[in-house]
Amino acid sequence: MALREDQIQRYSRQILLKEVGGRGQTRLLDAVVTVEGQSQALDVAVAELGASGTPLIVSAAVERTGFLAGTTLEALSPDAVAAPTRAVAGWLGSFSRGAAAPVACFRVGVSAGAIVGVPAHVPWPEHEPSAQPAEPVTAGSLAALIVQRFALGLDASPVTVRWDGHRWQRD
Amino acid sequence: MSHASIDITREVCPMTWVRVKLRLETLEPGDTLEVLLKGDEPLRNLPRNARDEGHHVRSLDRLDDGTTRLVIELRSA
Repeated sequence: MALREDQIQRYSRQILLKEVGGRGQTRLLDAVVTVEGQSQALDVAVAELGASGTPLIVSAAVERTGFLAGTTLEALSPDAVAAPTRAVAGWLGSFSRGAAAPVACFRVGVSAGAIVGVPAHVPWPEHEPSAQPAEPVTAGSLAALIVQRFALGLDASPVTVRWDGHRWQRD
Repeated sequence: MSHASIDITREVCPMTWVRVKLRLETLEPGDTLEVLLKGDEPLRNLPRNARDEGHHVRSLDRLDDGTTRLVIELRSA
């Protein structure tokens, strides 16, 4: 699938990234992700995935509550609205604030994983020391990032990411 | 080995590299892309961007009309 001119303009900042490019952006546009549940973290993940062009199929709860209650997927990006006939590549949901429970679970293709043990304030996983995002932003962004990495074919193995008090650790 | 060309003299950063990057993706390893560019910013950025992504900058020539011709060889597989 060739990128349209409006897509090249809209996603130019992503296409610039070495790991993305035109081929990677096409993969993001092809990776339909279903989203279930409702939480602040999920809102963040939906916003980041939608704006990056990933088509989303969201549950009624996601549409009814959170920030999507005040906007639409189409407002994030026309490409964020998944056609009902598209094959689903990934799933994102089951967010919980419990100490031991995962804050985000995802499945993309045959791979699956979880993000667990995120405390209230932790450094950004991409080594950005000035950023101290609150838990929902951290968990939601990390979930979106991991789904995107899977969609880009950067990592195809099951993964669990834990915050050990100092840094992100993969199990 | 094939040779392609692209004129980005009407583009501004960052679209200059976006256009070149997308064109490079259509080529095979060892192919060359001739880029016609204008202005200091792409002149500074494009050779560096190409090298950062592993490509070889074959030549960089200022032309009489004020534009610059950059030739990039696509990295080997």
